[in-house]
Amino acid sequence: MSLADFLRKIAAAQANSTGIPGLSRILMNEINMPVIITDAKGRVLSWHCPPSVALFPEERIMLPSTILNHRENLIEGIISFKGKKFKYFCWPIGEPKILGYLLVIGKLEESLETKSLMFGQYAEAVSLAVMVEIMHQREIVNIEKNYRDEFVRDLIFNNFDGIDEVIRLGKIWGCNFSGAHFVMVIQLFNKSNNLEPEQLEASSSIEKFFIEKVPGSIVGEMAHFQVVISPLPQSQSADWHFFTRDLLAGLSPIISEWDYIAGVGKISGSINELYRSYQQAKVALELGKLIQHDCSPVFFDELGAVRLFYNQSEQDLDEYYKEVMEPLEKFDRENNGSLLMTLWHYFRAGRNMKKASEKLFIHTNTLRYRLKKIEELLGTSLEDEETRFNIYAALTVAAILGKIEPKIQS
Amino acid sequence: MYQWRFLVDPSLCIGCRNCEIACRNEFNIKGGERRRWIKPVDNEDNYRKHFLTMSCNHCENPECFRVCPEGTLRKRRDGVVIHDPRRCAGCGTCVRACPFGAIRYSLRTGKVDKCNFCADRLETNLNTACVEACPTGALRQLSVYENNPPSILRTVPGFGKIMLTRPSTRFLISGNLSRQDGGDVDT
Repeated sequence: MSLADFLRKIAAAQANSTGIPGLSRILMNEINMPVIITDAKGRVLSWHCPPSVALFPEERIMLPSTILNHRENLIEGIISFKGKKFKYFCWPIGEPKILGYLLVIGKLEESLETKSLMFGQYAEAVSLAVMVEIMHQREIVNIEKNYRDEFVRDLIFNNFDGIDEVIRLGKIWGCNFSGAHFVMVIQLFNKSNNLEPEQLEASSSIEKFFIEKVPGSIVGEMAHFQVVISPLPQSQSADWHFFTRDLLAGLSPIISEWDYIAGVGKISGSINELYRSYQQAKVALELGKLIQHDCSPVFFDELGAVRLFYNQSEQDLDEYYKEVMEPLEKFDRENNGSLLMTLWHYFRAGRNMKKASEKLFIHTNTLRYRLKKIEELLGTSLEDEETRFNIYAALTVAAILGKIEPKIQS
Repeated sequence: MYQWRFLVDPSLCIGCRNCEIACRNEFNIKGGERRRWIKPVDNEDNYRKHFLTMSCNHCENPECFRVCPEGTLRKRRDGVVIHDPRRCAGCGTCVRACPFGAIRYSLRTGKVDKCNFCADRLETNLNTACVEACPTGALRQLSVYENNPPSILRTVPGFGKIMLTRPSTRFLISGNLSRQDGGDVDT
């Protein structure tokens, strides 16, 4: 078949919406060799083999490093399927960002060099057509996502006309709003500064994860975070904190390129109250970023006394902080000391000397000396109940006011 | 940011209160009640630093909205926070919750009242009454489809705490006010 006829055939296949499988079949028929099309991570999107070749790739194939570190438009090498080695020719799909790979597989003993000259143009034409298909599919996914995001936004902003309407729309997205639900807000942080992992991929992984683990969940994307509305399984209602912690712990391996922090709102018995759970989750997330020093989920109903402080005026908080901590701050300022941070870590470690000294990278005796100095400066004993409460409150205020650097940057 | 928001330039504000009066006229507000007001900001030596025109900031996470026991507030798809007075019991919980004092209790109606971003005027492609009335261009509005201009700020001195509620109002300093007075640059 001439190249012009081949291109005509591709155009006709695209017009008939045969998709990526249709395109790989056309190429396989033309060159009579196995054709595999994968996405950028090696997930097989389509594969076709002539009847004479027995090749059954798995759902995901391990792409050789020569493909992943490629520089040229055409890459060749050896690949193995179920222990059997084959020769391959690979065309990356998409420029400059790789969207996938088109692989043509041949027998190991076969000399493909001359053949590659023959089918190279055909494969290149198909890889371009596949790129168009992938972009088209992404567009459809984006449109669907936009509709879903708008529905989630309406739910969490109390912006709907009636419950009937919400239930009807919920059914479209596979949600049943008859039981109790709760809202989680997840903010992602890029682990590596050099590479920019694709957030779209992370959000679709998060969505898949929650829908699989808690059927009936819906995930929407807001400006900087993911909002997850999950039904609470009746069997888990007794210890839903444990259930949620367990659930979120399973998320880390799914989005390995990202760090995350999650805020969890209270359980909402009715869809009318869902917006409240969302706002609670947001408050938990924002406060968690200030007071939490690891990535475990922050529950609104576990925030405790912090909730008393966050809505006070900045001036009142600052006054209170200075009243309690002024002597320590002055000492730190004048002597380039770190008594404030010492106290912070001491309290964060539950007043455990060993844990606190490990966190501060100092000897326990040094910590003991510093605590004695703190008691001296404050003119009171750290064993006194009221002093302890005041210090804890002032340290929390310091975190809210940004005087103590949080580990997780917003 | 996909929402309607006010863009305030404190260096251009002369404190004339035109915005405040236009808002009162638009909504026929009587007595001492106000949906928009001018806040003078002084420095430590009691010298007038600048004026700030204040109203509801149609926050990203409205705190009023979380605490209202009647669910009278909602955030529309265009980001405008709307209060439904029919469901309001006038308990005042939202008044205490708003860190900007943007929701006020009305002695006349026994309910609370707040800026609705002139929702009716937006429907007819008109600017909000306060923006229309500003003679110096210190108060402007940005639509859902408009991007933030470069070097925009999220807060300026005297504005209030933005950490939790994330107000949508943005600031631009084009005049003499020192840029050091500004807060975080919004990226």
